[in-house]
Amino acid sequence: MVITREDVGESLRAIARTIAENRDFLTKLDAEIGDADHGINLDRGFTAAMARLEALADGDIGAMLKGVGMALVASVGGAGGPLYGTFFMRMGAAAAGKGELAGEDLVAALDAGITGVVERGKASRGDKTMLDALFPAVEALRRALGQGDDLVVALTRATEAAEEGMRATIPMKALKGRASYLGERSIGHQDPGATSSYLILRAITETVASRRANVG
Amino acid sequence: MLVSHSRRLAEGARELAEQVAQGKVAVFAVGGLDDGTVGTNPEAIQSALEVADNPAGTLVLMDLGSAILGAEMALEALPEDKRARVRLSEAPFVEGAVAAAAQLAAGAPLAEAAAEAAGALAPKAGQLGVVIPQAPATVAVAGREATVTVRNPMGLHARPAARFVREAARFACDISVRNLTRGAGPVSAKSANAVALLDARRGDQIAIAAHGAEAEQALSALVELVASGFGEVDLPPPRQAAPARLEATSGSLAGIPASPGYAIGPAHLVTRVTRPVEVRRVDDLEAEGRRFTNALAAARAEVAKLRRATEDRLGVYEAAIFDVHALFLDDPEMVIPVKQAIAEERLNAEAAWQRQVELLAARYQATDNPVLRARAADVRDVGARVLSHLTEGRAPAVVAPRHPVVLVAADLAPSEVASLDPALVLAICTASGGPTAHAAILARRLGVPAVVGLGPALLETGEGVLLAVDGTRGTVVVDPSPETRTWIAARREGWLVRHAEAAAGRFQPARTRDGRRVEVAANAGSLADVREAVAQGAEGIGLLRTEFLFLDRQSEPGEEEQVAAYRAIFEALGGLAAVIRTFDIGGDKPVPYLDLPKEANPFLGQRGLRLGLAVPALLKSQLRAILRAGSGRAIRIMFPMVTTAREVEQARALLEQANVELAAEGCAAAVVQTGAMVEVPSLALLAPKVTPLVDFFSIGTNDLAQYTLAADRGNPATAGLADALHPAVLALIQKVVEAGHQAAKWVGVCGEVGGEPLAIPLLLGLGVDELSMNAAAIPGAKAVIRRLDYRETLRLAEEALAAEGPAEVRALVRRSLPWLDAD
Repeated sequence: MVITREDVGESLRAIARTIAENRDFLTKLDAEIGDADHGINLDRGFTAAMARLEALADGDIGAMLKGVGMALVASVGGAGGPLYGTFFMRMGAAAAGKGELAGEDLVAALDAGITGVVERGKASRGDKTMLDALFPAVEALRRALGQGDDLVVALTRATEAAEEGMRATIPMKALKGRASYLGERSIGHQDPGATSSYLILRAITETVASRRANVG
Repeated sequence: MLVSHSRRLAEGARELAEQVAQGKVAVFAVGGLDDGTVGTNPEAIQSALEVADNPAGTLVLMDLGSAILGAEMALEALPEDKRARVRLSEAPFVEGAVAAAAQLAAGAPLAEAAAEAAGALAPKAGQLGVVIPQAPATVAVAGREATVTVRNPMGLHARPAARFVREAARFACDISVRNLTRGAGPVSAKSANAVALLDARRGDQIAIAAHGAEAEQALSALVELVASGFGEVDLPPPRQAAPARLEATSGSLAGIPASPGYAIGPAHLVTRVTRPVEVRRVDDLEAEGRRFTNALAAARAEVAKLRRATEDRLGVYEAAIFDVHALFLDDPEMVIPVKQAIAEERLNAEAAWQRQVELLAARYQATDNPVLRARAADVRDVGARVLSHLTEGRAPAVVAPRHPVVLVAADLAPSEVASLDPALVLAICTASGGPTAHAAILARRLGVPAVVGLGPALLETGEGVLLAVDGTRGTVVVDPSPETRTWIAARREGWLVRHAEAAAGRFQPARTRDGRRVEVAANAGSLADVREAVAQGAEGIGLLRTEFLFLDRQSEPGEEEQVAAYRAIFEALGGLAAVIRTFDIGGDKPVPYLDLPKEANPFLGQRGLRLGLAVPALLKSQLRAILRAGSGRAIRIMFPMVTTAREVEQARALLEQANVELAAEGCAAAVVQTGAMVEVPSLALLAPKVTPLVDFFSIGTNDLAQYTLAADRGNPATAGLADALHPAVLALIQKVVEAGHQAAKWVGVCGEVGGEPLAIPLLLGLGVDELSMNAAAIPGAKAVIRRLDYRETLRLAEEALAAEGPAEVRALVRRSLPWLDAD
């Protein structure tokens, strides 16, 4: 089973919808330990990205992801712009010219995206950032695919791992970003970046799963 | 170029910079998004950089967060030649902008202006009299190395290692140490553990290397320190076997360890003049009522202040203790009877209040639950505060010694402990009190060693008499001998260093030096415990005792009440996992609503899961409550006191029933792991038969030791026998681990030994995957694991299994890992 161009387009639209629905929730999380703009910023970014996506309707998967990334960079405003922008642009570079993605292509693209985030944000796992959701997710994805799991099952595992990673940020002390100014007091709050990363993975998984269900 | 989130800030900074630039420097301001909101647009920065590009180069100053990331992105997008002319500056935004503009206007090259900008906080710091650490890069000195022989008898271990590290920390440069004699290192001179692990003994040659600023000074200071033998060369060499604990002599007192650590210092007696409260008849009832209300209001304001101060100092969970105090002040059960007594008995406010405080405190004290009993101290604490306002018209005096002391008191109130200055209070010793008291929790969070329950003899200590306090084991020596003084002082230094390192690393997972990960979880018996566990770095709850819901009440808890309690705990845990143990009641614990027959031998009677299966409706309602609270989550349920596989089958059938019922009621399923608590030897021996029925085992070493060795821990005559480090108990642990691992099930230990430093290497070596312990032990346990070598623990466990008894096992561990005993 592979991920098609249409899957990617639908997933990106689902991400934009999920971010819009969770805009206030993400902003509330950010209000607790940051500057109360994560949901607002990402929503603005993905709204802009959707406009860009329309113009890329005929492009390959790489071009779609890159276009979304560039739109995020220019319009998010907060640190999420460069970070998610880099994430999607690097994924796009890894998927350049591709019309569909097999499991290993998806893992490679996510790896490239995460590496981009690490380089951009200089953060590591355990710093209470989006990486705490993304790292476990890609590990779970790789593991599930390695065991021969179907792509939808593997994506589900990845989303579960992201959720677990997201919750695991609660007791962490923030070491990066605005939340790190709070020091110990960032403990006990769920990281908004890890939350949005989880929501993004969930949107992708749900989209791919429901499209498979409709087809089969 | 000034890059900010806020366009107005960027413009404002440009205005200031242009004042000094006098038209000789082009200043660009980039900030905000196109629609005027706060944010950073990397594309806008990129186009500004294109416009600004000039042969002399562009210096970019940024405020924070996305401004920095955005500038970096913009820079990467520039063509190579232009990129080379841009320099991103780490300088403070406003001060740096002004300094750089002034330098550039005066004709300085870009690099010089950048350096000036980076140091731009210095004038402000100078004005305010603050010293800022020197940037190491400014005085680059080539690396140097010096060799020196260790002369002191102890070698570069606990105390000397701590002094070495403290000395090294005075210098900004990178310092590393190698043990040339033993070929160990190099390690950073700024880690006491790493330095101690070099195992540099008397006569060993060590090499110290320093790179960076002040390298020369650092080297000479450290070489001097080592060469001088840390000032201890002339002391007599230590005896063959250093005492493992404070000697029990006529001058020693045994109490309950309440906060670990070591201290020595003069006693300072906190005596409270408890004048009897005056009882009088009042005429102006309205005025008396007002006096009482005013005193309550004053106390309320103080408690709120104390709460804020505690939150700032210790954290939000510790501060919550004072929420309880605030609740007491508003509690109608406290307030209304006092108002009635004033109005109806014409009793003065202080007498009426005091009577009510004592009544409520006595009710707490009369319960069987030690946690509730400890609340009596909170009631009296609040009581004294209000009373002080009524009688003195002011807040109670705070304990404020003028020089470092060991505090001695009958008991200390939570508010007194919260207000203590750890720099002046070396340790706390009380005659009464228990380890679950709020005062004890606060002492642990403050890092002040404390021993409680030392008995009335403690109060006979004279003011200023020297006390040696071992808060780890609960011993206090009055007027200690010179050997004891030296011993405790050495322990204290090592402990201080380790305590700081352990606390700093408590939120990181624990891995041995060779990479084996061990999960460190907490035992908890209340929501407050769970919160303390999270604050201490627990990776989950390895044992949630649910008896708090079932004991000390007249009727059984309803399902809704239980759901709310479990939900609150899940929420406090965030995403961390919890092993919820179903009720372990019966035995010696009275349960009025169950009408249990009196048993001659309750510990061998109907307790734990045996009782649960005898009252299936109650067990099922607990399982339903757990499943409902855990709906949509991953949860772990554990059954206590399992003896046979059959019991687990029955318990699982009940769980399945509960699941089916809830599914029919439309409740989303929880992902459930089930486990058996291993306390009965038969279960350990037959573990392979039970593994197909469970997802995990957790070993309750306290009861397993009692049942294996047929010895009661509560009976002084047999307590010594019931030792969980007995090779027989270790062999049973090994059996459970083997059975579990063969079926890919995880095995934890949730008894007291889980957090005992001497036991940790053995449990690791036996293959245990998870250690669950009291929250306070977690930072220390993680630190111990990080110093262990898994392969070494395998060998150690093997030797321990072959040992004769627990004393030999402990001696073996002490011998193999001498540093373990150094705290």
